[in-house]
Amino acid sequence: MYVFFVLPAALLLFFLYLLPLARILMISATDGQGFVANYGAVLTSAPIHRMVWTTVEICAITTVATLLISYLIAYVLLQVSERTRMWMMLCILVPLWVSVLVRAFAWIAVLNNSGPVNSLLQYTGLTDEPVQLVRNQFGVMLGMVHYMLPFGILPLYAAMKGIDPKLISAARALGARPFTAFRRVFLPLSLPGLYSAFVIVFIFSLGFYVTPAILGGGRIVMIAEYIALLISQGYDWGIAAALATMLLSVVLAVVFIAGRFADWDSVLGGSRR
Amino acid sequence: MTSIIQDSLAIVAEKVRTGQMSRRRFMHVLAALGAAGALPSWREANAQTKEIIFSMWGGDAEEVYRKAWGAPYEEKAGVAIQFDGSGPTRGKIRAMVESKNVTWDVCDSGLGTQSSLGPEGLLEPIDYTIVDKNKIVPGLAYQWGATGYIYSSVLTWDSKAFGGEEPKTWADFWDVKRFPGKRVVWKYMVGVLEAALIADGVEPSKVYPIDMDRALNKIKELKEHLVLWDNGASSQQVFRDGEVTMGQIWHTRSTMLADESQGRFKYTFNQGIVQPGVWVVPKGNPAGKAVFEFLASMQEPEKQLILLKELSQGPANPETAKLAPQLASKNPGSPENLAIQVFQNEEWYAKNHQEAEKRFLDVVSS
Repeated sequence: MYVFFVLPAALLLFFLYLLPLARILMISATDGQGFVANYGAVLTSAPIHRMVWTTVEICAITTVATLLISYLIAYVLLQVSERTRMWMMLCILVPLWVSVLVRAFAWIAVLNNSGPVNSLLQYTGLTDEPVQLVRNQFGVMLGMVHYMLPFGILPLYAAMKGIDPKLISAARALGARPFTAFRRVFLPLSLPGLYSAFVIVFIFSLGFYVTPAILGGGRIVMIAEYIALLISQGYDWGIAAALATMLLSVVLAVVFIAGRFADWDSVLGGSRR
Repeated sequence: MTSIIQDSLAIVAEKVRTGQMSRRRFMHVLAALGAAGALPSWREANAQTKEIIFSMWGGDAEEVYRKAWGAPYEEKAGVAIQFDGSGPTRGKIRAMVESKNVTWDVCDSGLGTQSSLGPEGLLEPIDYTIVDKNKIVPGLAYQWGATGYIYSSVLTWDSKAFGGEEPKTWADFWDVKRFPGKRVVWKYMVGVLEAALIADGVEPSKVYPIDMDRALNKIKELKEHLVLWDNGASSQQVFRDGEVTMGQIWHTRSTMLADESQGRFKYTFNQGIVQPGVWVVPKGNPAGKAVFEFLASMQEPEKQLILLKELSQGPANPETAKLAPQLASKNPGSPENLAIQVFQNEEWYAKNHQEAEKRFLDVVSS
């Protein structure tokens, strides 16, 4: 009987998502010169390789930076008082409600060559010339890390909350120094949360589109934007669809491989115990 | 890819909003437009056609389009003009025609679209028995696109940035020692290759056919100093924010920058790359031939004069400039300005546009 409750959502997904997706697969196999040519072009084209490499590089750095910062913040969240935690949560969640476009332009306003940060740097004599902070790869990664932080913090915090604090106390009681207790007890127990955060952050990063386009000054082209260009400028749908299909395969592979170690229950609000 | 005409109408709307042009004057002008010289025969010719869908680039322009072209035509010809502001990218036109589900009658477009989609059979040839070739500058009445206006990608700079020195040529644009600072160019390439070749010493009259390798090598030299703009508003904003000291941007935006900054931002038509704004009709459009009468209605000099006056947009109809000789210096299509510029070459773009755009993007992004 419950099946009727999920039926509308399932139908919606099927017709508006899975069917079009199947069509993309079709296009990648039939449009232009056909399957071999389309996938061959993706595999052999030097420009596409460069964009894939740019994407992987940016995503890897973004993911590592996001996870490091998220881990720290989640850990602090766990330690602070209820009241402080509430304020911290508010600060983490509010940016989620701000449009990604607005955030990208806000970064430009703050960090551009004549913006407040550069003015301050020059006023204090730290630099003589403006430091290029946006319209380049650094700007893109900054914007992406900022965007991804809540997606890193929340699963990590959820996982850490599930760790029994008595285990740390027990480790300490048995003579472990604080860092050893962290490294040998807390860290391994938090790994499933780290994996889920990794999967979410990395996959989101792969599909970034608006942020790189703006903060990269148009010169940092990631896969998602390249696919959009191939489609909207009408160059080559077969190749675009092939690229999209391969991107999707990578995403699915990441979900299945890294996802196996992840703690989805606590991320999704449930609990293992 | 945004279209110049959408951008221009956004400019007008912005002027009205910020009070540089009174709404009353604006409405008055548009109303006058509507009254101007419509042919009585249209009503009969369009007896069966109920509506025409005009695909454009949305934003504030949509409302302005409706007032400028839609409403007057509705009144004269009894055909409803509907606007779709979702943007007629080449990809969307192709999707529509290939799936035989065409909903647009006319698309606000550029030479690149007519030159690439036309030969592939995705556009209707313009019916020049209805659209008047004599109301288009000779050479700009294309098989699949009627030119409605012309614009230019011009050298624009911040006069405060170089201590009194003024860049005048693309060679200066490439000279980062004499003219330090970032430069902004269009993400979709048109104009940049030409500028690169001229900077590299090619005679402006010998730019076409473009030597891609040479142009791209020249662009690589400047790559680290480039920022790319993708719509007209952003090309202006980077100047206002002091992010760039120089740029190649649409002259309609350069004019605005010059006006709003009391001359701090300057531009020159010298070595500018002139481009036609063209209207194309997707193959199998729902209104059929009736759309060409609508296009003809937009060719009247009185209507085009308004665009020239308020936006410095170059009228495609040669008669228009005669109505206001004092505006010649701001018109990219005036004889003296055309003489110092390069005109976008249709033949070259028809053959090479898409491939060149991809290679350009690869060079600037790698």
